[in-house]
Amino acid sequence: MQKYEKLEKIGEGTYGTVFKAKNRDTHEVVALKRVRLDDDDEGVPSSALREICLLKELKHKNIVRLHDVLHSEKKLTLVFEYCDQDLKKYFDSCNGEIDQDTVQSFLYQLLRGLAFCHSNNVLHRDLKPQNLLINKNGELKLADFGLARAFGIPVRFYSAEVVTLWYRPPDVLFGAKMYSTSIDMWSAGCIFAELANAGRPLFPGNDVDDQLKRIFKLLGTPTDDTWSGMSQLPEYKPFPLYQVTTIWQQVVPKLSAKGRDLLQRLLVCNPPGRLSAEEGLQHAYFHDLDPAVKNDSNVLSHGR
Amino acid sequence: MLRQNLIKEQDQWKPKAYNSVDIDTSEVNGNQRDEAVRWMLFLNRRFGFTPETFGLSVSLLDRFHCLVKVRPKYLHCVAISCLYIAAKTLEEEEVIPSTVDLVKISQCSCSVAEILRMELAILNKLSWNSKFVTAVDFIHIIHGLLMNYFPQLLKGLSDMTPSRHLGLLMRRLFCCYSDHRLMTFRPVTLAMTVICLELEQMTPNWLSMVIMVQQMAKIDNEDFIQCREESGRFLTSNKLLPTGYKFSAQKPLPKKSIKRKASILDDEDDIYDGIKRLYNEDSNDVRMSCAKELHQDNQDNFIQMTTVSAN
Repeated sequence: MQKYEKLEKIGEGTYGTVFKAKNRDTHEVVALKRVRLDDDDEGVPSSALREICLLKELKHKNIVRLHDVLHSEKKLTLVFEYCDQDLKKYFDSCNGEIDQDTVQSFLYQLLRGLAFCHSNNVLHRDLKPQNLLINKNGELKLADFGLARAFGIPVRFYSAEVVTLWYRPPDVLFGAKMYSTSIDMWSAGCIFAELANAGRPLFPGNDVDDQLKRIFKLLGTPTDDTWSGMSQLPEYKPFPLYQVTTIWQQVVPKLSAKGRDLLQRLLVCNPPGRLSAEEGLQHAYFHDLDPAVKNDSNVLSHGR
Repeated sequence: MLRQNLIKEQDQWKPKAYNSVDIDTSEVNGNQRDEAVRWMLFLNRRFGFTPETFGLSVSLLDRFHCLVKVRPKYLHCVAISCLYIAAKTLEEEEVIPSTVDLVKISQCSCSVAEILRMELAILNKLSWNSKFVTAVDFIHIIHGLLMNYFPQLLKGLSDMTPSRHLGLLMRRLFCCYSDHRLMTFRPVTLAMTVICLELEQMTPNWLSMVIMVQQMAKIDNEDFIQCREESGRFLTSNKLLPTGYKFSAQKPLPKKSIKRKASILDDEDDIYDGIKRLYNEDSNDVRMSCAKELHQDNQDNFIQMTTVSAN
């Protein structure tokens, strides 16, 4: 590891430890994700392998850039662009206050990154604030593609053991294995609400049951009429029929009416009913978006 | 989707010419490579991997041979490592065997440590690019396109469903994979050839369909004709000599009647359950119970996919 000088440990990813480091020649600051290869007999973890081959193809301003892969007999190091913090830490520094322009900008960038993934036939499958990186220019980048996978023709059965509980859609909570891009759109909806509330998670469930209960209390319990095929999902079980009494203004008090409309179009139990990332970007909520964010390269810093 | 994959193919693909005659014993020759590929196919089925994984593992193998002179005694280790890398790249966590199981079940003669060392060596040589577009991907895309543009295509054939048909094509493609001489053609050309050889027997309109796809995929005509000749010959000869190979599990059926093909298909249906999922035809597998019920959802997905590929 002569090329980089390790500065400090930043955190732990799904696999491996992440360090902040500096390129000794160029002085460029980078993030190093280090994976030990001698811990077990499984060789290169499939999550690392996937993250590498997917990120090599996904080059976009809202997706974290993989600069290099280094390896020795005992360890593998992925060199990423450095971002100052993740969205979770950003929330911690907010103290419950967030500028609604920032909310709008972050969601727009999240959807733009996602739209790019989806148009390249990649599902992220683990969207959550910890996996969204923020740099000091107010740019948001999707990171941690350890659970991501390519999808295509034919539609196959995928693992239902994906997405952190709080951000997992109801179909996957019921054990659905045939899912597509809509899996990420639910997570995006949850993150949107959390953004609008400056870091208060929307559905902080304790287990699968509690998670579904929280969702249905807010959105009403779906039936086979509103969601065809629901009761045939592998892990389906009936829930009490909660009626929708939700006043969205109380759920996300700071969010504008257009924002609430977009949120409700993302948080749809029946997967085909959810808005796609591309459709989300066209939503009226973004009509008054700062052109600097829309066109890009130097996103203004709204927050701290 | 076709366009995206064609661009990737252009970036990634390099032909590999193996020595067909055994002049130089220090390097793997074509026949040894072909035998290894048949073994990989056997293992791919044994582990229940998808056809895509097999296609990718062969691409990795050929690519590695492009870059490195492999000695025959390491061929098995390279082959199984390529399969392992392909599985890690494409299969879900639940399906990927542990390295210990991989060694045990495959009965390969290499150790866990050897496979892991080889895995690193291969990935390093390939600059950590473990995902190539393969002929398997192209068969899926082109077949989807044809089913979308010509929904009547299979109507006249008894006992034929889109997934069975795809299974049939896939089996022939797998057979072609075991001939190193066919690996000098672009993956999309090989895929289109296998489809063309089938269309010729199915419909008098085959030529216009083939030309349509050929134009979409920008397949060079001369290349295509040569590939068609060679793979046609190879598939036919395999029917004549089906037991010539120890690991051959193929039943290529280029000239038989569709009806007979269908009856033989039943035996090997299990390997293609992945494809069936696409069209939701499976009825006897317990795991499939939700697939049937998700019919609507699945159809929506499929329509969405084919629309994408049609663009």
